[in-house]
Amino acid sequence: MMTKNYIKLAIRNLRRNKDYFFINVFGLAIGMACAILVMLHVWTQTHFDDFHPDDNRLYRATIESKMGSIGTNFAVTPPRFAFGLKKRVPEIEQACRIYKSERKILLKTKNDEVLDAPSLLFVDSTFFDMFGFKLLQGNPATCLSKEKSIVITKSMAKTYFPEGAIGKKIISENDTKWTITGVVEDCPYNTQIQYSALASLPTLELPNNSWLSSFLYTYYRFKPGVDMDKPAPPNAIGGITDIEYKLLQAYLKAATPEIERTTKMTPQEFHDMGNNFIIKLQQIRRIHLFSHLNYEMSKNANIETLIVLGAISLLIILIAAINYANLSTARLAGRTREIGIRKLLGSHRRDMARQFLAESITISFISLFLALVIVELAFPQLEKMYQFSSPSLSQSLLKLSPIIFGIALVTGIIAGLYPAFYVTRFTPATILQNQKKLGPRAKGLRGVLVILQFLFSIVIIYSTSTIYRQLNYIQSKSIGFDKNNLLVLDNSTGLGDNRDAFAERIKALPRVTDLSYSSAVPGQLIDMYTFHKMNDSTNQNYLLQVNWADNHFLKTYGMHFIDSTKAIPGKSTEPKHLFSQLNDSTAQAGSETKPIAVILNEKAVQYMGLKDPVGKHLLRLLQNGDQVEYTVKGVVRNFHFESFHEEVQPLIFLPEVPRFSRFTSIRFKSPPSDKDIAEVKKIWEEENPTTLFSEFSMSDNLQKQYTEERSTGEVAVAFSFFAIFIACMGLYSLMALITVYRTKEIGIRKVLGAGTRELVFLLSKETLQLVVLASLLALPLAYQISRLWLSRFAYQVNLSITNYLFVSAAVFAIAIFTVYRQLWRTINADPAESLRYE
Amino acid sequence: MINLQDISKVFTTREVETRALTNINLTIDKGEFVSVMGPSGCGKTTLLNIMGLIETPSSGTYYFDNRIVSSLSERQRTDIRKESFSYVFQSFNLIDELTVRENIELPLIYQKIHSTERKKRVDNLLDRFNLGHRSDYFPQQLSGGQQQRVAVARAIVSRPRIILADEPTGNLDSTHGEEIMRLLTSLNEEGTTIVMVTHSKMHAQRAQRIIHLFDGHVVTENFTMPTGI
Repeated sequence: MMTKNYIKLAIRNLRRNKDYFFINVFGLAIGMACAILVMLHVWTQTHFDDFHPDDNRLYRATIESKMGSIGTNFAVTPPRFAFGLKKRVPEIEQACRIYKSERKILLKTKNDEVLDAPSLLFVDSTFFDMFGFKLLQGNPATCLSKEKSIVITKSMAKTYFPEGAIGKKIISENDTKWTITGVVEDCPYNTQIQYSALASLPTLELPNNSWLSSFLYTYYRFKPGVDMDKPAPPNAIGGITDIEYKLLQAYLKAATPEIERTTKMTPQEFHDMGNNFIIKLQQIRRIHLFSHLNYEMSKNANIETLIVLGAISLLIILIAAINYANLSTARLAGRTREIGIRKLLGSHRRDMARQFLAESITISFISLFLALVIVELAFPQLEKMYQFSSPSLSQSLLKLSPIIFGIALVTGIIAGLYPAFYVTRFTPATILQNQKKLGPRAKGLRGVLVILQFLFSIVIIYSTSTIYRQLNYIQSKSIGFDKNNLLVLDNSTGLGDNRDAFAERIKALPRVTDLSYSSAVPGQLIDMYTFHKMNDSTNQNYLLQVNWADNHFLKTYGMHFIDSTKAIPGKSTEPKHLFSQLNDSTAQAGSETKPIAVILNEKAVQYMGLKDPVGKHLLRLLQNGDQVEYTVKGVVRNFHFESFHEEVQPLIFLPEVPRFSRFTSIRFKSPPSDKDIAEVKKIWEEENPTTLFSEFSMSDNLQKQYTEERSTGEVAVAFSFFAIFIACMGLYSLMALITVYRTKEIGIRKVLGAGTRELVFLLSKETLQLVVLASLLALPLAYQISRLWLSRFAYQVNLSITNYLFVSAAVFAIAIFTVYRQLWRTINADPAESLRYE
Repeated sequence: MINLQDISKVFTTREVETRALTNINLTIDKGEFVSVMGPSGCGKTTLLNIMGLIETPSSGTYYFDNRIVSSLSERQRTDIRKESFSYVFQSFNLIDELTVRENIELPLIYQKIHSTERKKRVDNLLDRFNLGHRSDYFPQQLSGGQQQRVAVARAIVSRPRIILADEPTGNLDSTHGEEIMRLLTSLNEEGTTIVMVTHSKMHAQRAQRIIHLFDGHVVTENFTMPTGI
C-alpha cells in the first residue's frame, strides 16, 4: 500500500517537472540501450564453444617456434602430432584433428547440382566423441571412420536430399565420390569450428608422416583429474604448465630424427642456436576471445575490442546516471522548503528517503523500458553492421534479464541515494533557516559530477578519434604494392594443363594488362619453410614465408626492387627481365645440381644478416634429407603480405610450381566490373569445368582484414555522439537549475555595473576551469584505452597531444555553447527581473 | 535630473496581466532626498527600478539629465548605471561567494578603476563604517546591520550621483535602522541625490519630499521640513 503511494507520488512529481523528467529518462534510456547492446555482444562473444561435453577438459594444442630472431605462433600442428602424442602422454584421453581447406571445394550431387558448402572440414572419426555437435542421423562412433564418408548439415540434407540423405553420394573435384553417412545439426553460431560439411580426414592425400610441417588443428581431451594448471619444472622455458612440458618432451623425442634430418643439427645444437619449440594448450572456450595465432580456423574476436566497447558503454551509463544525480540535487534547492515543511508536519526521515528512492527507481525503470524499445529498433541495424552473431534478440535478452534489471535497479538506487540521505538528514529548522547554505554545498558536489561528465566525454571522444585516425593511417599507409584493379581467382591449380591457354585467353581481354600465377597472394595464408645460408658454419635455420610465383608476379602487383640491385654490374634492374631470369633456371624443387634463382624481401635480407645479398646462395633441406640450392637474384622492397596487425615478415619468392599455384592474379586497367568478372568466369568454366570459380577483388579483400576495427570505429562514433548528447542534455538542464542560483548574482553584478562582456568572462571562466581539470584527469584513462585498442596493430598511429588538446577544446566549445544557450536570456534581461527571483 | 513622463509598467505572465504603474509623472532634482511610500504591491520597487535603469517601462518617457533613456539598449543603460547610480536593497543583495572587501570593491572593478585606488577607497570605507575587522568575512557570517552597512559601503564606493534605496531598513532593528538612516542623511548632505522606498513613516520624514503611491498612481506629494529644523 505504502509502495503504491510512493510510486503515485513519484509519478505526480515527475509529471510536474516534464523537462527534467524527459532529460533524465531519455538520457538514461540511451545509456542503458548502449550498455545492453554492448552486453549482448559481449555475452555472445564470451559464450563460444561452451556447449561441448567436458569442455573444461577440451584443449587445442598449438606450437610456438623460434628460429633465430623470428618467432612463429601456429594454431596448426603437424599431422603426426595428435595421435603420436596421445600414445606417449597418458594424460590424454582422446584426440581429434581437423583440416580446413583454405580454398572452396566444389561439391556436387549426382544430378550436377552444386552444393553450397563454404566451409568443408576434414576431421578424424573421433570428432563426435570430442565435440558437442549433435549428430541427428548416423552413428557418431563410425560415421567418419571409413574413407570417403561425409556428414552434411540438416539444412543441406533438407535442401538437396529431401527424400533422405544417408547413403547418397556427393561428388567432389577429380570425380571423388563421397558417401553421406550422417546428418549433423546446423553449425551453431558460437563456435570457432565453423563447418558446413564434415568429411573423413584419412581420405585426403596429405603428407601424413611429418612431425614438423604444420597444417592441421589438434584437439585433445584430457582425462578427468589431470591438473592442467600445475606449473612445469623450473628448467622449462616460457611459463608453461606441467602438462605442456610433458607434451613438449614427448614431441621433441618423437620429432628428433626429423629435426636432425632437416636441420643437419642435433636437437642440442638446434636449441643452442637460440631455436626452440613451445607447445601451448588453449582451453576450447578461450580460443575465440584470446587466441590470435597464425592460421586460425576462423576469425576470432578481440578481447581488447570488447573491453574498449564495454568501457565506453559503462561511461555512457555513468554520464546518464550523473545527469540524474546532478539534476535531482540541483532541484533539491527548490525542494528544501518542501522537505522542511513535511518534516515539520511529522514525516519521518525514512519515509522521505523512500520517497526519493521510489522516484529515482521509477525513472530508472521507465528508462529501461524505453531502452529496450531502442535496442529492439537498433538491433537489426547493428547486427548487419557489427556482425553481432547472436541466435535471437529476445532469447539473449531473456538470458541477460537479471543483469539488465540489476543495472536499472542499481542505477536508480545510486541516483536516488544522494538526495535521499543528504537532505533528509537535517532537522526541519536547519533546512528552513539555511536554504541558502544548501546551495553552495551542493554546488561543490555538482562541480565534481560535471567534471566527471566532461572527463568521460573526453575519454570517449579521444578513444574514438584514435580508432578513426588508426583506420585512416591504415588506409593511407603504403602497403608496398598496388592493390587496386586486381582480380584474384582461387582454385587455380584446377586449371591443370589448360593453364597456359587460360592465361592467353585472359590476357587477350582488352581490359586486362597482366596475369600472374602464384601459390600465395597478399591477405591470404602463406606457407613458411626453413632455409639455411650456404657455407654458414653456424648452420642456423631461417624461417621464411614462401611464395612460388611466376615471372609476372612483381609486375602484376607493382612491386619494386630496392635500389642496391642497380649497383650490380651486368644485372638488369627491370623487374620483368630479372624475374624472367629467375624463371629461366627451369630447375624445379628437388634438383640438386643447378641453383635456383630466388628473390628476397628486405626483411628477409635483414633477418638472415646478408650483406650484398645478390648472388648469395641459400639452401633448403627437404624432409627426405635432400637439399635444394638457391641463388639470390634480387631484393624487393618490403610490402605488407599480411594486415597491419602483423609486422612485415621475411619472405622469399621461389620460381613457380604449377601444382602449387592456387591463385591467378589478373590486373585490369580499372577496377574490374561485373561484366569483366563474367567474362573471366566464362573462360574459366570453358577451360576448367571441374573446379569452383571463386574470385575476389584484392582491395576489397584487404579491407576485410579491418572489418572488425571499422565496425568498432562506427559503433564508437555512435557511442561518443550519444555520450556527448547525454552529457550536454544534462549540462543544459543543470545550467537551467544553476541559473536559479546565479540569476540573482548576475542581477546584482549587473546592477553594480557589470557588462555583458564581464559576465560572459565570469561564466566561461568556471566552465573552462571544469573542462581543464577534466581533461587533465581524462588524459591517463584516454591514453590507456587508446593504447589497449592499438595494441592489436604492429603499425600504429602516434597518440598525439595536439589531438588531445583539440578534443578538449571541442568539449569546451560544446559546453560553453550549452551554458550560454541557457544563461543568455538572464544576461540580457533586465536586472530587476533577476533580483525578483527570490 | 530625473524626469518621468507618463510612465507605465505592465507585467504579463501566461495567465494574468498586472499593472504595476500607471501614467506616472515625476521629477526629482539634483541633491534631493525623496521618500516613496505606499502599501505593499503599489509599485514602489518597480518605480525605483525604472528610475535606476534596472527595469524598462512598458510605456512613457524617462529623461535622465535631459536625455531620453527609456529606449536605450541594455549596454548603454549599463554605462549610465555604472556612472551615476548605486543601489541599496532591503535584502542587502550581497554576493555570498565574495568577502566583505570583495563585495565593496566589485563596482570599482566594473568601472575599471586601478587596484591601488580601489584599495584606498575600500579601506577608507571599511574604516568609516567600522567594518575593518570583518573585511575578510563572508556575508552569511555578519549580522543584518553589518550586512546592510556593507551594502551601503558598496553603494557609495563608486561615488554615485544618485543612491536608490529600496527599504534599506526593512530587515533591520530600530538601532541598526537608525544608523543606516544617519548614513544616508549625511550622504545627502554631502550632495548625493537619494530616492528611498520605505514603509517607515519616521524614516520617510528624513526626506525633503514624500511621494505616496497607491495602486500604481502617485496620490500625493508631501514636502517635509528638513530634519532637525
